[in-house]
Amino acid sequence: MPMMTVTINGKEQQVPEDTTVLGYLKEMGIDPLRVVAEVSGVIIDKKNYGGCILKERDVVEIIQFVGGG
Amino acid sequence: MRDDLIIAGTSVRSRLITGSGKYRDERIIKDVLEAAGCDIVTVALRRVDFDRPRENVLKHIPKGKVILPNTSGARNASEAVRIARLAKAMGCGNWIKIEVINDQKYLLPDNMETIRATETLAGEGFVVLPYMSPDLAAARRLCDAGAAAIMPLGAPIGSNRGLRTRELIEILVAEMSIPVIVDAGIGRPSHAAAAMEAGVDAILLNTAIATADDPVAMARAFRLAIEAGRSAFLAGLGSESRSARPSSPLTGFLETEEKV
Repeated sequence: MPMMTVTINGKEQQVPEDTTVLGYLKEMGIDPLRVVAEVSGVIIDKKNYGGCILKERDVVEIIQFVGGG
Repeated sequence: MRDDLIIAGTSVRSRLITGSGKYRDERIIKDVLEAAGCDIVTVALRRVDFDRPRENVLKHIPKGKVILPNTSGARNASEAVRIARLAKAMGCGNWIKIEVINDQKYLLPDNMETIRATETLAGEGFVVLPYMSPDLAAARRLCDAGAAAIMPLGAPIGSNRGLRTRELIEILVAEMSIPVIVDAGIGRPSHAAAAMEAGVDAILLNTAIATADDPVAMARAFRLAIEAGRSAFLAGLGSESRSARPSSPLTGFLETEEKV
């Protein structure tokens, strides 16, 4: 499988070319319902995680709620 | 008669808003919220740490509470707007506490950037509660920009120093038609009671409860103090004077002779 370079939560990494947001979250063991994904500045609707295929050089933010004041 | 706190048409019973940060063990949050009797809870947004995934804090917050995400970490208006949009995409409502801070020593908010962010987000339909330095001109601009309430600080975040900005907050209470919620600095129940006596609409607390030896007991203490302060405000406080004013009648002493 050809690889591509993306930056996820500030970390540059190699992922397979057809990686989707949903696929990445599953791979990492993260419940997709409790996070929000932003791909190169665009917030992805939760129901589109499976259809959102990452591209070379995408900058991805995976965000969650944490305790805060 | 009920004395609800009304923010943007939403009516809640409790005038104590609590934060969910700084707990040694987040499993205690549920009991804290119950003891505090609070209806609105703040949370923050952060990147998922894939190496050390953290529990979802929402797991500890019972259903039915209003979730108030903050924009902590934002250094300007556009970062706050970005964080607010991400928070909304989480699907827990459209409330947002704007927090724009570019001073790391005192964590004092940047009112000008806060006003800009408020304008944008209120325009997008968010219920916007901005954390601010207590300044009347800024408060008026926030109100004009569509803020649902204003949240002036009592003292720097986490300092537990109480209502140091009292005189300025009293001016906001007198002049503003939207709720005034003291956010930051309240360290003791007596501070909270004093702020409520001064007429503020609600108090947002985090550090004072979360870092107490017994957070659940402290949450209860704050609830009682805030209820007491609110009741005193509604009852109308007596006036102050420099000299004494007797509480008992000054006539009719046993040894005084009655003049016939």
